Amino acid sequence: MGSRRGPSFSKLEMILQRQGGVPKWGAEYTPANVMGDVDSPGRSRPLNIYAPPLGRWVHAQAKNESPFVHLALHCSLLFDLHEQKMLQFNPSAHPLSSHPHSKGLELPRLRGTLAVAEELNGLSRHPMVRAPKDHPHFPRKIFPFPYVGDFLLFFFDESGPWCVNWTIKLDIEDFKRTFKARYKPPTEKDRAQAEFRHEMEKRYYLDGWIPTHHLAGKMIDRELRINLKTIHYWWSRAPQEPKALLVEDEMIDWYRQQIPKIRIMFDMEKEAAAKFHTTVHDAKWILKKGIFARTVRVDLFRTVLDNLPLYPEGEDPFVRYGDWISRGQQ
Amino acid sequence: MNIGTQVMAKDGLGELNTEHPYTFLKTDPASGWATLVEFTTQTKGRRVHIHRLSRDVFLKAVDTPAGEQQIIVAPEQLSLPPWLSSIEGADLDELDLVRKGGKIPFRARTEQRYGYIAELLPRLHEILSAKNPFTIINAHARAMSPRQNRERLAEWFFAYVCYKRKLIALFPEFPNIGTYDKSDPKYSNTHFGVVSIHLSPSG
Repeated sequence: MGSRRGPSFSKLEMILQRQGGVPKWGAEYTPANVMGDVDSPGRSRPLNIYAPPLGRWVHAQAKNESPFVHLALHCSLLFDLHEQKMLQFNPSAHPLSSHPHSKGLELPRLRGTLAVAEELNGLSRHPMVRAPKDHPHFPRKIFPFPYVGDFLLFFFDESGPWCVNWTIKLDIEDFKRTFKARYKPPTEKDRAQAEFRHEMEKRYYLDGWIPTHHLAGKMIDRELRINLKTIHYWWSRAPQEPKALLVEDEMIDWYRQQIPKIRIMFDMEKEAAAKFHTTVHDAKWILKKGIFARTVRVDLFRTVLDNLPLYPEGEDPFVRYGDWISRGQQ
Repeated sequence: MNIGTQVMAKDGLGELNTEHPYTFLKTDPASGWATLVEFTTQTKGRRVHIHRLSRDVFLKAVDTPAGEQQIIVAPEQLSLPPWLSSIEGADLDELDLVRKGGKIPFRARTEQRYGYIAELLPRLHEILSAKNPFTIINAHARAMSPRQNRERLAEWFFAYVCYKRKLIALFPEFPNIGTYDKSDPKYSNTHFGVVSIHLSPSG
């Protein structure tokens, strides 16, 4: 049973229980809002996406978020992904600081949303909640209520770790109105509120050299979206027979040699199954898992289907969408 | 006339009746047959029927001047098999994208069925020229591992061949689930939940 939407003291307690204290990583991370916390609107289609390297389900709140989760998981530089991440209202350490990858780095601290809101002359806009009058420690006290960001992505390469913040809406125009007023005629007040919200999040993360990107569902190529969604299914599951794991590397090498020949995908899978003595299902699993994990590079901007030819990579998705994951300026 | 053209026999011809659309597959000069396919729904499930006419009779029925043809190209060419007519014009990928989750993506489901018929596809002309096309298909169904139901395998094979070799023709009959008449008074207190994505793909 879902609870009421909007800020409340009980929700504040719940968010702090999930995300307060030392940041958690990998399978231990819990989003501030998970599916089922609130009754989602009838038309929304939230989706749980399993991520084997993280060992947990990633919660995509709406159908426009799921392609971005798939794209992020497809990136081999990604080492963690925090969806529905609480923005700390008080000064806090950099989001990376508790991770072993950041050992020895001097990372800036974040001022917190209260300080940023004050800088923007919008302290009165910051949500506050009051504790109930029968609270054992803080009866009737007022507390700030945290904002929640969409996705904080953590990347790592030879020059060290970095973060990127993604805010996702159905339409790019939605960044100019609040969620509440999305079906109403636009007003100046509502627009100011929405712009304050996004400017605040942007400045909050800029303190830690983390760039914020405003993205909309349709900004990813449609063919790439559907390919990643289908191939993710293979990546997130186990093979039919465990012995497929033994020939995985060999088979991947063989697939790599076959890709430039532009063959029908199913023909390749069938031949691989006969050659390496696995089931066709497992041969398929190894190829599609390899495509998602980027060990086999194919053109994902064309339809990838069993009855069609498989083309070698023409354009790398992370070159086309490279801006979205690039390191922030110090 | 190409493989997959849907035709109708205006006044009936041989075993063809006037109402059903038939899908043209092949005229074979060697055997002297013209092969047409019909998909029907019977009490025991859906079936595929092969109709064979003499090639000369068929060509004569088609090649006469307009207005006098016994076999005409159906005015409405369906892009999907009859059991999927409720999503005619829909895009399988779009349905997959707006889906809430689901164990298996629709694409993977159709790909699995394609896997079972893939070996039959290069043998299309051999199958159509055979005395009984179903012998070859049934033998293939038995040889598959796991063993396949022969009626279903025949349906997948002919649906794929007749509908432009698109994987959407292999899509299971999900769109028709729950489409019974809900206006009956006995449902007046029933809460029906979210509308199926097949009926409102915009989500």
